[in-house]
Amino acid sequence: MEETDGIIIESLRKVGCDIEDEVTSLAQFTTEIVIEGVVKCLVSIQADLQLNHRIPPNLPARYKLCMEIAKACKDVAGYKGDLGYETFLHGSQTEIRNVFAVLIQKLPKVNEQPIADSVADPFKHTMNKIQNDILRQLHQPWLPSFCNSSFENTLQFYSVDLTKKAANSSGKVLVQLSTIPDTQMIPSLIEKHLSELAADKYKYKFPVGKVGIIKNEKKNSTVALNSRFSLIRLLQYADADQKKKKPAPPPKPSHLSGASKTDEPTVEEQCQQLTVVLENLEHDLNSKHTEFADITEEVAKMKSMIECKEVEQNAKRKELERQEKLYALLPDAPAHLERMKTLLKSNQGKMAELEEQWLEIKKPLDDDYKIGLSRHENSAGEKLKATLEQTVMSLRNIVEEIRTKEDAIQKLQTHIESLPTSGLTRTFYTQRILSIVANVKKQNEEMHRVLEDVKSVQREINSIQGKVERTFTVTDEIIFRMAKSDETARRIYKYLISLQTDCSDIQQLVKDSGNLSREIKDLEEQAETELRKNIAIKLRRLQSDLEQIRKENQILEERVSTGIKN
Amino acid sequence: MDDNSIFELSSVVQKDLLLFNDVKAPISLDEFDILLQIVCDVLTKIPSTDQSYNIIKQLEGNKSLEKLGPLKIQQLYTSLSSLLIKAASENISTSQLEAKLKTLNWSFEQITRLLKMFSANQSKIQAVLKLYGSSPPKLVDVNWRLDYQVETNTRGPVQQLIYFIDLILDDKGRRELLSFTASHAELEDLVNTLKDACQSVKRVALL
Repeated sequence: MEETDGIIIESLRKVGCDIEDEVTSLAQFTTEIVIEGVVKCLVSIQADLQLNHRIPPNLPARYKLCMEIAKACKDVAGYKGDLGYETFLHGSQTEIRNVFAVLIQKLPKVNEQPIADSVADPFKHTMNKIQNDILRQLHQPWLPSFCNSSFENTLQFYSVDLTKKAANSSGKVLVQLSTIPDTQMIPSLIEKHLSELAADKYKYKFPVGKVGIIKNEKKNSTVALNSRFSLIRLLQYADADQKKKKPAPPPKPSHLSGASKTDEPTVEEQCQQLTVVLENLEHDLNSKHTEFADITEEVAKMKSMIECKEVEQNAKRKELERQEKLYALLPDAPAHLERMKTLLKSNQGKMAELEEQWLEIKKPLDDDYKIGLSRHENSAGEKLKATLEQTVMSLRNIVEEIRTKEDAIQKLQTHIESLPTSGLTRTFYTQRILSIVANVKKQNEEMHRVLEDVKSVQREINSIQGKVERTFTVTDEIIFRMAKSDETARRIYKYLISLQTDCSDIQQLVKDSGNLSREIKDLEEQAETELRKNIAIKLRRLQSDLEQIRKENQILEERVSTGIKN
Repeated sequence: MDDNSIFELSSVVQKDLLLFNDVKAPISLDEFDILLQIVCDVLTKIPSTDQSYNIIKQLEGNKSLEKLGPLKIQQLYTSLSSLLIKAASENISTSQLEAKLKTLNWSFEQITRLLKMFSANQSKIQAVLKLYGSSPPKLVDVNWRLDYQVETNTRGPVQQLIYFIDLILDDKGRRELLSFTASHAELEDLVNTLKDACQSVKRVALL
């Protein structure tokens, strides 16, 4: 029983019950722990249950809660035994143990879920995919060529180096983009991207824009499985080929490999010629570009020079106009001078007036400005101070928090260290279970043996009974026949009859006594079980509960009546 | 098409794609639309050698794009084209593309417009991409004839079987004929080699 209690307590802790370390058996369970444990088990079995795991203080609410729990135990966990509110409030150990055993069996098993297959090896994954594809394609029926779309690969994959183009033509990129032929635009984009990707990944730059790459590849990739006789032929002619560099011997089965060798030199030559031409053209283009840049620079210089000259010219023209005006004033000089002087004086007076006015306006504004400035400085300083204080405060708080958290970490660590490593291992339990099973088997065998004994005894009794009856009928017949003639025989017959009835009476009595003893045993067992249930104590408890409820009810009634009176 | 296929962009393209929603110089939605339209037009047009009509010239001539500067236009154009080509050739789902663009700081409006454009043009771009590439000629048909050589001018009486085999190949729509002769043993050798090839495929499948 202690083991089951250990298992139950451990499971309850796992479910989230706060059971103290001193509690080691169900006998130490209080009503609170029982109800908390049962409710938490039920909730973890079925998450949407709405049950309170704290015991309410007043009795009726307690009864209600316990009734609900009992109902949930029957519905959710499928508890089949007798279960009521009293089981949880004042249940015996065995009853509570049974309830917990059923509940813990029904707990969802978190650890036993199969672990999902981890991400498989990518290489294996691709291999599997290839296999599946090949299998699928092997089962595809043959189709005539005109059923397949034949318009694929009608354009050659020729590309241009886009980055080079962009670099070459510093300013005029777009002109270059639009000069790329239509058919080479997409391949160029793809190749640019691929070479950049390769540069990212492998620090290797693909040569981009080499027109002949694919053709070359085609020529180089003749390493294929040749048929047996072609290999032999190759052996035969290899030496000859090396000595005389003649074209291949006429009808050779190497035709099967596809490439016709007579085309090779011309295409290569063409390619080379074209690349040479292309290089020349590019060179020309570069030189033209540099020339063009020089010329544009010169033009810009000229333009700036022209602007400078224009500005100079304007200044000179203005000077000339002024000089002309002065020259016009010269003939009537004294009168003009007089006028100028008066004008100057009046202007000076005006100037002084305006200055006074300006000072009048300026003073208050200046004062305002100074006041505002000083205020602003003060407020800014205060703000800074406040923020500084705030940061200092927050810093302190954070430091304190860190300290408390460190303390908590230490506490938890010591707690972890102090936690007992569970000694109840799985193998131990399995061994226990195995020994129990063996015991049960032994007992079963014994029971069978006893049963066999009982059966054989019964058989013996039956046979003896038959024998007795048969002998009685035989003797009865003989003596009856003799009694017709003999007087003593008649008396003997009478005795025989009385003997027979007496014996059967005795038999009946023995049977009755056997039955009675069996009944007595049953009753004794029943009495024992009843005694074990502690009915008297329970009844007393129930009575006390009832009285308490009555008292509470009375109090409530009194309150109600006083409330009505008031 | 499974969702975990790789969708990689080079660092240069990613950097250029970031320009679309750059904080310092954001691209307006009008400019974005024009660029997107031009890129899609280029990618969905069946390429021809005819140079008279070049869509990229629209990039130069467009007034609203002028202020971006030619270098930036070129960056935007190449990066956007690369993105669409890659997405189409890898057959990327729109959700994946959306996730990728979100990592590149694109605005919601830009992403929705691009996704709309992409899903409308994806199959067309794929069709155009299919046009490129080179492949060796394909075997379409085989004709054969069996002759019995009685004698030749040079070798006198020969008296042997000779097969005349014509392989008919299809090279980008053009029919090519590959003829050869073979004796029975040679032909058997050829057939066995080819059978071996077929068998080896089955072996790979059952590996």
